[in-house]
Amino acid sequence: MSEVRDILAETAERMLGDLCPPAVVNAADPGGFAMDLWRAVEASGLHRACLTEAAGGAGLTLAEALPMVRAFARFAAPVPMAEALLAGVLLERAGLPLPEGVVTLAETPVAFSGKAGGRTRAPFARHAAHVVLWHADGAQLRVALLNTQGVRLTPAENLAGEPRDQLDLDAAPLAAVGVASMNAMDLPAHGALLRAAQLVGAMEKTLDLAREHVTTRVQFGRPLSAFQAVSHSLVLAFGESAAAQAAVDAAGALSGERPHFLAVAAAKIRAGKAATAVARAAHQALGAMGYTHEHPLHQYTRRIWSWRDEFGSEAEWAKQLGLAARSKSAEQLWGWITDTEVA
Amino acid sequence: MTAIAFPFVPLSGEAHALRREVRDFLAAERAANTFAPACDSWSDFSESFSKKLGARGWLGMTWPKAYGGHERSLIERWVATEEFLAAGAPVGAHWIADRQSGPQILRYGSEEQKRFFLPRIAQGECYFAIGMSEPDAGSDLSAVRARAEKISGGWRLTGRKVWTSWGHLAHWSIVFCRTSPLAEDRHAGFSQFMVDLSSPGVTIRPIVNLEGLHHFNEIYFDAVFVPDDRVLGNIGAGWAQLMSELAFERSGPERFLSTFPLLAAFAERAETENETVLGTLMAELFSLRQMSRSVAGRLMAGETPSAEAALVKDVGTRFEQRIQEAVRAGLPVASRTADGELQRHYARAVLRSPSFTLRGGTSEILRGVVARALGLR
Repeated sequence: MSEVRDILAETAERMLGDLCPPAVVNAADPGGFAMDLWRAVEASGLHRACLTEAAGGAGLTLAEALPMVRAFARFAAPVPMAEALLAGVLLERAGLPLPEGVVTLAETPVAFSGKAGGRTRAPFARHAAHVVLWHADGAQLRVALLNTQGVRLTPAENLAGEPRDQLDLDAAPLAAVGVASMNAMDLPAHGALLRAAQLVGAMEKTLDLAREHVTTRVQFGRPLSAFQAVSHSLVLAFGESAAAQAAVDAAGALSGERPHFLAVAAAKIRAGKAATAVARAAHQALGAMGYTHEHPLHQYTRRIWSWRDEFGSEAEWAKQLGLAARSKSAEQLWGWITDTEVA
Repeated sequence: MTAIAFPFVPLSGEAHALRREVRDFLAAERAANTFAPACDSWSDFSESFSKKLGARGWLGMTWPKAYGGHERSLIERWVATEEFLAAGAPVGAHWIADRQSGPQILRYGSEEQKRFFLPRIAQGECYFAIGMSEPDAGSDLSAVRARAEKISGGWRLTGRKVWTSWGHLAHWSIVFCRTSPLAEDRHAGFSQFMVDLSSPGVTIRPIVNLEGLHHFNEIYFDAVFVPDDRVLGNIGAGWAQLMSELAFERSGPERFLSTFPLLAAFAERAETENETVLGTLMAELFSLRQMSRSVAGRLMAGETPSAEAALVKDVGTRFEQRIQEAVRAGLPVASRTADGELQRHYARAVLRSPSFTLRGGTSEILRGVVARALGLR
């Protein structure tokens, strides 16, 4: 399966190279969507990668789709790739059909049966035909398909200008309702791991831009990278990025159908912490040029500042991880850290 | 210009079985009170403990059986090392010999040298000291002045080495010195010699550290005779040999587990309000373990991931240093005096932490290595 995983990541990389240049990213900012790119995604079936082959997918686990998701983040692609993958898995696990058109997902605060209620925020909802709603009822994961036609939608964006639209769900009619064969605890973890992979992709591009700048920009008669203060600051940032990459890759490898709790929590925490440091270092390195809208840097750093808070911030995951680690003896703690990592 | 990469390295069932075996042994040793868990335990010298590990087959793990090794993988050695350090077991006596001197001999040594040294090291009976730094050559090893002159049947070594951990208890040292005068190429003209520390002309004096402990030494070599058969590798190839030796030094679990006993003591005593800090430390530890194992995997595949190894040490040693601050911020000051175990771990962590980011290459040197790999200098 790792072969399929790599082929899909390469396909995505090529597609993004053709259809997601900086102009497309900028044109979608704020609130927009890269329609041509998404049409190509649909034509190639990348968004169905995590469905079973019987359902027309490639049969990847969500963890195996991480390299592809990371590629989309490396291009700051203004499309809900991670959301579409997760929504598709939810629908299939609930025995519901995947509809045509753009599909995104959102958690609902209140349980639903025939109708939904309350408010929620959904990525790219204004561009989507359907929203997959989910609600954790104990360990049970309730899933519903909502047609965006019948919902009151208030446009809103995250710090990156990506649509995070508010949906007023009171009495919104649901197209289909089901229970997914997935532990409700797993869904936020899947989401966190996808976002962590996106953070790694955004960091890669951010550091590419920073490296490019400091090796070519000349001040005081030397490239900036010749100043040790500058190069060491970027080395620290590369170290942070690498630490996040190692954690995310490990979390992907250790997760099967179900996410590996310790690894996923660690990956989201480490990626969020690293990305924060990387964004700061890159802006410092790029100076005023990197602070302009014209320069592509902010398309990555603003996504970093948004994604680190989505599907659980570092603090929220650290609280959970700390709760699990706390009160163990030294032997128990070390056993807990090491015993579940046979891949 | 290269890309930094830490590909995931899975742990096999065999590696996990080994982990259990080592863990059970360590639990039995603790129950028998042969050691008390301590931070920085890879600086604790215990000949009897090293011999026990040798008897179990946990030294020279990756070396050929013909030389007393056990033909295990580098990943299995990595797992065993993690267990020793997490348990805070005294593994300092054999540490240098097992980690770097043995692998150097295996790579560059003569057949006779391999047969002589490696089985003894693997038995936990033969200990090595590092012979690199000098008073005027710290981070800049190309400034080394110790020199050896060719004489009949061997070499006459003169010079002075410093910061030699356990030099007063080790049997041998691999001494890095000049064998031809400084030329245009600063890295040319160096060689490595295996020096018997009981040789005439060797004087070892303690350098007491800030803890008041005699751990490192200065070693004087006054016209010490080194026979031809104790030259390591090739005369004049010392610099390249030294660089490969450093690769073994930088990326192991000792670069992030030195203060694990303190972290565990903190976790055991943590209250609800400490959970976020504790969880963050757990995430960093998870990531470092993956990074370190990834480098072991790449070394095993014959690669030389110097930049990645340097990053493990830079990121890892700063993590080791931060744990004490989590304890300070999270637990009452009084608990560090009233609670004997916590006090012991905390005191060691604080007093030894300055060395974490110095030994094996300072953080500044490491960042230079990474910067060069990234095309940033």
